[in-house]
Amino acid sequence: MRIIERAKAWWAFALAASAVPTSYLIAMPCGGACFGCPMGGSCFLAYPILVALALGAKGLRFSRRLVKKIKP
Amino acid sequence: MNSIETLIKNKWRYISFVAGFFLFVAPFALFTRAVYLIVGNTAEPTLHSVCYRMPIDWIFGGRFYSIFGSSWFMAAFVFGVIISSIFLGAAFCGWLCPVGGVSEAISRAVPIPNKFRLRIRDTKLTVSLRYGFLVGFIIVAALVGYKLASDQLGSICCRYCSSAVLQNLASALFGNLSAIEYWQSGAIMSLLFWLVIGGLFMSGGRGWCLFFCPLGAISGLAHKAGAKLGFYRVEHRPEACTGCKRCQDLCPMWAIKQDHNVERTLCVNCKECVSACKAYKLLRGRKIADN
Ligand code: SF4
Repeated sequence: MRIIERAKAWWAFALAASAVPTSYLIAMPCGGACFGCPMGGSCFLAYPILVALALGAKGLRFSRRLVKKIKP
Repeated sequence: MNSIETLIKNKWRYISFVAGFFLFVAPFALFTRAVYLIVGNTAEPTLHSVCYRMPIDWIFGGRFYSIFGSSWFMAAFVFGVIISSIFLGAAFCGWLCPVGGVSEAISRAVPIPNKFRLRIRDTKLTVSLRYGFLVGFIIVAALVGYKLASDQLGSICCRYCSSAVLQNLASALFGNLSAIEYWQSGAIMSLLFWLVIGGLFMSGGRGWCLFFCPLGAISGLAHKAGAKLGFYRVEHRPEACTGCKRCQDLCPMWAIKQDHNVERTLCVNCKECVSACKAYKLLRGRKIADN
């Protein structure tokens, strides 16, 4: 169990550490001016969509629990 | 405890955040203005004058000449914050920082129930992500600084910067609309993550501070070292704990572990837990030896 927890923490660390240079390079061509890069501004949508998915998953868990409670 | 009660119990912290706004954000920037006046600097002070990231970027990018050059005040401020964290905990983050203060205030002012807000309960995971992002920041600073990446890439500091977003919002609010060209994609994404995702939709409203502020992350390490040496720290007393876990919901930095102990690299010494629960106590100096 401890090994799994450690692996999870290292995985999160590596993911975060690589996310910064990657997002920096992805945003390179636009240089801060939106729609200037090959992604055509889709990074604009990526973050809100990710968060909406996470919130959706959380909401789903919550409603499942609620349904379980209501069930006779 | 409802939010009005929290507000009253922690009134000095919220007053301090308001003071932080006037001390560092233009058109006021009273602290920076006073220092500039003393040293005879004629530049117009803004929040950028005490940039939280550039001195860190310079160090890891090998641009030491910037630290000792005309931007010495910026560097002195950042190192001052880090060094003070050894003795006082990350008190700048928890009591004065206008960037964290605004996002936390917005999160408290908008009554979205906690169940609709994101929160990582596993502090180890939060710490991993926080320091992963710090290492990412350092990697880019080194790549750009040592010219392994081309000059056109520019610094990592200004592309995604919540301080610049706050400064430009404040300038617009106080009548300076000249910075309208600032609102490019990086600025809007920073605004989105700082206030909407990190502020409104993350429990505590400190998403930006937790994951994207290198100064906050380094101050957390300094606080951990200081606490080990016996300086300022918040301590959990299991004998007074009822196990209600309310402290975990109150802590804006997600610093309280499942066993109720405090993760020091995340804690900003805001004292929300201390004012809400008898099981948390602030210890410093001689009292630590008594503990
Ligand atoms: S552990 Fe307590 S003092 Fe530290 S950040 Fe959380 S609420 Fe504030």
